[in-house]
Amino acid sequence: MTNPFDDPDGTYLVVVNDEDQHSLWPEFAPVPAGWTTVYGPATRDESLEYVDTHWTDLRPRSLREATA
Amino acid sequence: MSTTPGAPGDIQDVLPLATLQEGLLFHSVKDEQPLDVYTVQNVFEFGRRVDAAALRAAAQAVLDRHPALRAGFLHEGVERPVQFIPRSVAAAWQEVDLSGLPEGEARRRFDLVRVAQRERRFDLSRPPLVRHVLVRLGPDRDVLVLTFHHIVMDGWSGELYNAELMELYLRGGDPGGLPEPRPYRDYLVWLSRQDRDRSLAAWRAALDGVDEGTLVSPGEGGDATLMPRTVDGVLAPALVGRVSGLARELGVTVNTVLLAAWGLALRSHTGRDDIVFGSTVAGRPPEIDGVDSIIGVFFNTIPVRVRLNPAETVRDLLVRVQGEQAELLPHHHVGLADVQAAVGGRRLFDTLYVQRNIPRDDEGYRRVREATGLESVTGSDATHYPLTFVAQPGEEFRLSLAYRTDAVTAGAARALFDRVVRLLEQITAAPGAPVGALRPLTEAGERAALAPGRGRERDLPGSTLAELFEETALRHPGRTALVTRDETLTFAELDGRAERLARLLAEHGVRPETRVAIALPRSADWVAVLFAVLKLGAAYVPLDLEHPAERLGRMLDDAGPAVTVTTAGAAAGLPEGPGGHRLLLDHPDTLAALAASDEPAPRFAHRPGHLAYVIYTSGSTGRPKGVQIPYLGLVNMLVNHRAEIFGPVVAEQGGRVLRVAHTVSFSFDMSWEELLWLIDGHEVHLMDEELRRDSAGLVAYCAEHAVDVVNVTPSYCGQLLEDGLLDPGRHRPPLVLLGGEAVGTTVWDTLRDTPGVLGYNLYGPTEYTINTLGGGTADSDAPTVGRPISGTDVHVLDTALRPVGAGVPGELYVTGVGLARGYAGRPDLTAERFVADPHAGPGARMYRTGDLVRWTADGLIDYLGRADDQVKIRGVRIEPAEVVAALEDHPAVAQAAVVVREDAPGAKRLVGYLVPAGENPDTDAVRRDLRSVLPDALVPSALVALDRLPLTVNGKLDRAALPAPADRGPAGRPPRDDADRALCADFAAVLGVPGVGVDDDFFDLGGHSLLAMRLVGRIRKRTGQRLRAGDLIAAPTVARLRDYLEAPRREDLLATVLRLREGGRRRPLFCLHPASGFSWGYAGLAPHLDRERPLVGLQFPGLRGEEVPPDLDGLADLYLRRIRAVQPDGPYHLLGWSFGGQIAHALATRLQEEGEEVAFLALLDTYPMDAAPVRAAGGPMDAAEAEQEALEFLLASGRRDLPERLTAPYRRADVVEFLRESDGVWADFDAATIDRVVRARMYTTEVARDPRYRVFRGDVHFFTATAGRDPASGITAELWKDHVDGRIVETPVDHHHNDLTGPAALAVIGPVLDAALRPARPHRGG
Repeated sequence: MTNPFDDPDGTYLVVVNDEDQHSLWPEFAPVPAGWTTVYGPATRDESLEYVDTHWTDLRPRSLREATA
Repeated sequence: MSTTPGAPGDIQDVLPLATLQEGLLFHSVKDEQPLDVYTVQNVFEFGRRVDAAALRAAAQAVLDRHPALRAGFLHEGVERPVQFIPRSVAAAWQEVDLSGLPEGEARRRFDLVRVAQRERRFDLSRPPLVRHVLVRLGPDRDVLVLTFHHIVMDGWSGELYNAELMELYLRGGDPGGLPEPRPYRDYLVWLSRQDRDRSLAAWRAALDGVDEGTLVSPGEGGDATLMPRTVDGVLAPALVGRVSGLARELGVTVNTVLLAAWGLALRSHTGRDDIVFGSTVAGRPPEIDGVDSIIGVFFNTIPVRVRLNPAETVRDLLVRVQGEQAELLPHHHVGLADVQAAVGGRRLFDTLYVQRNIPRDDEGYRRVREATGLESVTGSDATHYPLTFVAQPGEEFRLSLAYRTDAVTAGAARALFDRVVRLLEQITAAPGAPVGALRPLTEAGERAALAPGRGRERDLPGSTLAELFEETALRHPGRTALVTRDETLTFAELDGRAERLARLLAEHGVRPETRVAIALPRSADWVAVLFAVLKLGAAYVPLDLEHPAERLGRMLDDAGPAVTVTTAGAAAGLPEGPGGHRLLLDHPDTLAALAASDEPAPRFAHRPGHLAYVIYTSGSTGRPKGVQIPYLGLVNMLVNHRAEIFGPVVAEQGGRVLRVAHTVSFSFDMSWEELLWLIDGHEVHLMDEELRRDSAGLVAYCAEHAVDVVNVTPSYCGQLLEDGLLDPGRHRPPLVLLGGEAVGTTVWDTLRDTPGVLGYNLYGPTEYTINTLGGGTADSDAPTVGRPISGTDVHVLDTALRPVGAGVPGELYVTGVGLARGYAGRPDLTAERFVADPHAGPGARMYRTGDLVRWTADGLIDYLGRADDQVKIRGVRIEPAEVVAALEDHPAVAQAAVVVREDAPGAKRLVGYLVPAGENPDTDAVRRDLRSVLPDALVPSALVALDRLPLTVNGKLDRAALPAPADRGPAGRPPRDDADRALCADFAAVLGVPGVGVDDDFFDLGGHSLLAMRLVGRIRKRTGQRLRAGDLIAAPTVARLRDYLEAPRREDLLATVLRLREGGRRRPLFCLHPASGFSWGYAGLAPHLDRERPLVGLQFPGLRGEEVPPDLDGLADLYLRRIRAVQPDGPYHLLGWSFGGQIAHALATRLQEEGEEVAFLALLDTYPMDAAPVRAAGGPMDAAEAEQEALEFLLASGRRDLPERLTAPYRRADVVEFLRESDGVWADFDAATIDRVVRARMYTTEVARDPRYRVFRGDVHFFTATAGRDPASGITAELWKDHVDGRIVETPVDHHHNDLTGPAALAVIGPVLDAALRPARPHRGG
């Protein structure tokens, strides 16, 4: 049983929520409420590379702003 | 009235059996049950009187026309079974007249006839295997019961038979004019020409990679002869139209659409993506002309594999399945048993799909009905599969699902049936949608599947955990909070210490979001620093001091702490460089800074989203990954535990304070359980590194200190139970918390069945704050991980991220207030593990655990295993990929694989496979190298070198083909004597290997910490010699262990309890340290004393940088506990030289006060400090004097001549340099240790100045150093008379006070001690 997030040949999106948290997302499944697609469809590696370069602060946005 | 079958006289033909017939013969012969499931019955009901003679003639004519129907079968006395065809056989015919009976009675009797026919077994060697009973039911109602064995006729042939029988009946039994049928023999000839190997290869390829079958019913068992029940229904014509339309559009058969729908339904029933089910096929090869008219056995059951990928479109799935099935068409004749054998003999399926696509001449059938009055033909046959799904196309498209009631409930069968219909609707509605978008469950079904995953909502207090702790400290300042080996702290003391540390940390810039690495031994300071960090709202990073420095370095690099809190001793194991400011808790500057002020620490604005801790776990990318946990979940955890665990257990115990043993390493989040108890005002006993791993010692501690709560991994719990944790007659902990790995039934059952004991299992990945699920022995008879804790939701989802129902395996996803922020510095890893949650509120994330679980009907979660490679061995989470990375980093290794093997039941071990980079490497050497980069748990217990890694057809690692590591024969020397032989046997028994040589390394042979505990337990039971699991690391071979057991220890010269000589059946002589703090000078006594008498030295804990009590009483208290840990009850034997004599006297009187017998007290040249002559002689020692004494002592211990440049007064630097060069036991000595020795010297002088003596009841053996003595001082042994009520037996020794433990003095003292000790009562009467 391959987890839908672990398929090396799968097609993925990168989705982001209001806290700027990023998530890999399999293209076949509907994007859940509260998430916006910011990248893809693309390969798994490409998607993760996008995350790596665009999500530079893991702190949730609300915490970041409160302590800014 | 009846005709017996004619005896087979004239044989027309002898033929081999078709493979399918062989299978049927085998099953019918081996099966002794009354109902032969291959006995098939068709019932023809006529609405008018039948011409019996014509019908009988027709039956005979059918028999005459089809040789296969006349076949008999022989298997005894022949090499291979054969079928023989008699030239002629009389039809089996019987008539029963029930027409005189009332209708109800006639029906009842008819049923009896039918059942009797069905249940009467055929003797396969006596043809015909077809029999007819004509029953006259009423004046105008006749019924023909046709019963036959499947071995002569399959379902298709049965239809041919029925049609031909009716046709011949209409013709009065005359076959003239009917076309000559093709004989079954032609098929057998065709079959013998098929390329069997090619067919088997095709099946092997089609089924490659099917790990396990798709089984809906566990086990082979079940009553195969049970008549199934059926759910059925007719597909709506509109849907039938859409199905046919889609099939046409895609160029696939309707059958393919139905196969796929059934496969998808099974997916939602089993939770698997790789589905295999059986399917019956006609098996009539089109190459044989007229094959459709042959009566015989062609039907076969073949495995149908439907692989489902949620990302694939439904359309692509259908086309693919059609193609895969078409490839196999030429191979349908291979018997199922042969296919199964070809793919490894596993059971591939236990469900069946049947399409009744038997061509029926509907026009002809209507004609027959009109002419004969035939109203219906009904067939029945027992299915031996738990589930059989039948699709019957026709004017009405009928679906039915037959289910065996012992395997499937009526509700489940109904749900499954409805699911097929729903899936057909969805498939035809949107064939372009991905498979993952299909919803096998209804919306209500999905809601119901998600419902048990919602944890309770509980109000959280507004306070932080640190504030809650401070409140407890304010409420119960004098209550004991923390008990460690060396000290006991009240809540006020612990809070005070934490506050001072917090102030100091704040001075070093620690704030919210700042990391503080903690690299301390398990001590009260560990807890104090943790609370200090919490007070500041900062995050701590626990470092396991046993991990290799290189790995710790990577963690420090990654975590980037502002401060690393450690001690001089612990810092030795840390890498140079990373870790920010290094705060040495035992450094004089630190001590001074801490003592400098009582100002409270500053408080910073801090939010629940700030990090509380970062814990590193094994990472699949080859590096440990840091899980960042915010504060949010910690308070929630406390609230949950109060309601679910603390409340009920404390109430059960009458509301008292409970004693909680802390045994879990601080580098696991499981270590928080005990701290939550602490915050709630309970008393936590912190086991040191040694005791927490010593199962027998821990059990003794729990009994002695009446510990109420134990928190351990299930495997360790098993060990504790074996060592008597719950034995009757001792204090039993009312609560045993389990966590970290799956719980076995033995542990669960024991906890469940022990009165007054609650077992409670807590489950949670590090990525969710502390715990996710919890359940106790009161909730479930079988091991369970329970239900979600409050504030937590869990989902069990399939690979399309849809919820699955109870009983269906799925992957566990977790969301809620305890969710981690992510992995430190790894946004990519974070984004793929913490993912958007489609089943919670907008924007919510969930963590995918990789754990396979299922819901029980009671809303509890069963843990089933891992969905990926991650493994847990003894509670430690291991990513084999990290181990592979470390192996492949090794210069001798080109390629590696790591798997968990369980070659012996219950003995999981990590095994590494490597392909050498060049010459075959020494695998033991590679293992040793791994130990320097990986923590112990990640080092494979065996390494196997291979020429290449075995791969499957798909190019994946073929795990099944990896060889088990060879049992290694004894490599080293054979045992030298009986003691060696006994130890070798202990090693071999524990390791489960045939033999062990005296030089074989325990850990190289696959030993690990749990086995080490078993081994020391075994040795202890056999010999009474106390060993700890840790000792095996120092002495891992029989030879070295022998030396270790028999020689005085030199390993840990700073240990508080120093085993100077081990072994022996008598009670040990405890030797108290002099002012230097060291007691190993007493080791020289060993040769003079009875071999059966162990020697135990007590050394000053300050030498290890541990905190020390402020006065002599406190020190005596501390030693008392340590002594009792070694020897729980009297009689005791004590010896002390100089300052040690003061302690020995104090201990002896304390023990007597506690009701213990002190059988022996010896003092070496020490005098009561309250006696006037002593007071007159001594003054306080200043720091310089203390330092000089300490340096002299250290130089003397170097056992080497001093170079000329080293003369008194000594300089520290020179002494350190000298010792470092000495290459001896002090080689790693540093300035910090010298500091501690100096401080010990000053401390002992200070606390000894004003002692309070009690009177010792008994004799004292006294040794007076007479050399260099001033007789006029008035200082004599007699001064003790005030504090001793027995005799003082004095022995003069002609040596200086400072030389009393030198060899010359001991040669005098030793024999006197030995003689004095001998009358003392031997240990346990031995």
